[in-house]
Amino acid sequence: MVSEDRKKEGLYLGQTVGFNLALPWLAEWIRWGWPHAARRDRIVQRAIREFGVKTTSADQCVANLSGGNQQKVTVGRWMERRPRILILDEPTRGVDVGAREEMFLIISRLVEEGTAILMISSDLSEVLNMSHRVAIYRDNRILQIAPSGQDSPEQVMAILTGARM
Amino acid sequence: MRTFRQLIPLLAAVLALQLIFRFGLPYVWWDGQGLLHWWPGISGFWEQGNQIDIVQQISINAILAFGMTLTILIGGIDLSVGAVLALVGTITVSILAGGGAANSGGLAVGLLAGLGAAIALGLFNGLCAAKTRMPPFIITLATMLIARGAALRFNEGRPMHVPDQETIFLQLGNGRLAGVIPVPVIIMLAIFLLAAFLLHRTRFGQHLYAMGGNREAARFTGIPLVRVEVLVYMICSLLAGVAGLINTSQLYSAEPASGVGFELNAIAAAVVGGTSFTGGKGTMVGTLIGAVIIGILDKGLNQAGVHFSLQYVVKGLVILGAVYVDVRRRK
Repeated sequence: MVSEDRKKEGLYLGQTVGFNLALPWLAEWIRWGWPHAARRDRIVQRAIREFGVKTTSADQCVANLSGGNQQKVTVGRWMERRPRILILDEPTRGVDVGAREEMFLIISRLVEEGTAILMISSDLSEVLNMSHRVAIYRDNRILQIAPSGQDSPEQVMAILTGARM
Repeated sequence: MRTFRQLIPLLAAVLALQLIFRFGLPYVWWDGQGLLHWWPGISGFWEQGNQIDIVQQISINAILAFGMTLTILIGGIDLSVGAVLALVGTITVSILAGGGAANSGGLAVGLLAGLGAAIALGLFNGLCAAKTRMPPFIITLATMLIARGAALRFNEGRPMHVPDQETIFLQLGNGRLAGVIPVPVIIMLAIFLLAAFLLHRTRFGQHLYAMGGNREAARFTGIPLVRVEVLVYMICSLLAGVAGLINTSQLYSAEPASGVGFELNAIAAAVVGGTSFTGGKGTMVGTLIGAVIIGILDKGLNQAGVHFSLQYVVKGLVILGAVYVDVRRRK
């Protein structure tokens, strides 16, 4: 799961990029109190490469990365073994335009490779462009679930605000 | 390599203190004749016996500080270590003294009971910290009072003499390997190696850094927070128990009132060694060197004849300086 608030619930800001990327896979690279540096490197480098995280090295402190690259770290962290489903909560929050494009490409690629993605977002155009199916929520209730091509942004807004047409 | 670079300032501080106490220091003071003086240093400071004394004297504090480092790393603290140290000593000695003639079983029972009590207190601390929202500072403050009270309950607070026939127990604090290296130092180094292994080479260690770095993120990464936290407090308490046994052995008696303020010395060692109070930053080597710095300072000021009241002031300033440097470097 990739959380909405990456600084509060996602990243270890004081730690290095490598620490952040390798943490969920401890069992893969530490066995019986013996860390395998090579295995850790492989996991970390693969994530950095595949997600185009722009960092000088894996020993860079995560806090020094840009918002978009931080977000790539929070997503890239889960990719060592492809999850069947990935929950992205506001994946483009605080991410600049270029990195946002990259994030969309990454998401599309993951979908092509067979990962189901549940994206939670309050950015309407993002939702409509990226999704196959859209569920519209208001006050904890689902108002409508529909294929994304069906409604125009105006119609969705109308449903959300409860306006009559 | 990164961790080594972080250690350089600490090692430099050790070297500087050693040089100052050996060769002296210029100082400015108007004594009626001149303004500039040279304090000559302590000629015997580098003698082997003196240096061994220093490491012997730091061993208890270092053992406490290793445990303290773990708790501070996860953003907690354990104020109860000093009281646990006293309680373990009194429990063990009351069993040794009550066991009558030198039956070899008494020693094992005494050690087990003492360390068992320490682990139980650690378990209590850990469960409280992990399962309730009470801050560790308050929990362990309460445990400190409870443990201190329990220790004072034994023998109405009077010291209890270790029976003379308990030679093995007395070796624990006073023995010397090959007639040179004190047994407490060996125990301390062994614990250091174990703790460093645990912290830097196991998944558990990585969990500690993760938890201290960002507790919420650690939860979402799937780290078993409760288990890790309980274990940390149990280890910290157990180490306090070991330190208590050594302390008791060195004093030849269990002093229910001993260990007051030991927790603060342990915290000082950890902090001087670069452990960050916000959690998630720190190393075992750093803490070891921190304990060494405090030890050299204690010994040197003592031998230099500095009044004990001033020793506190100097130590306070050193801790303040260490934390200031740490905060500055982090920016």
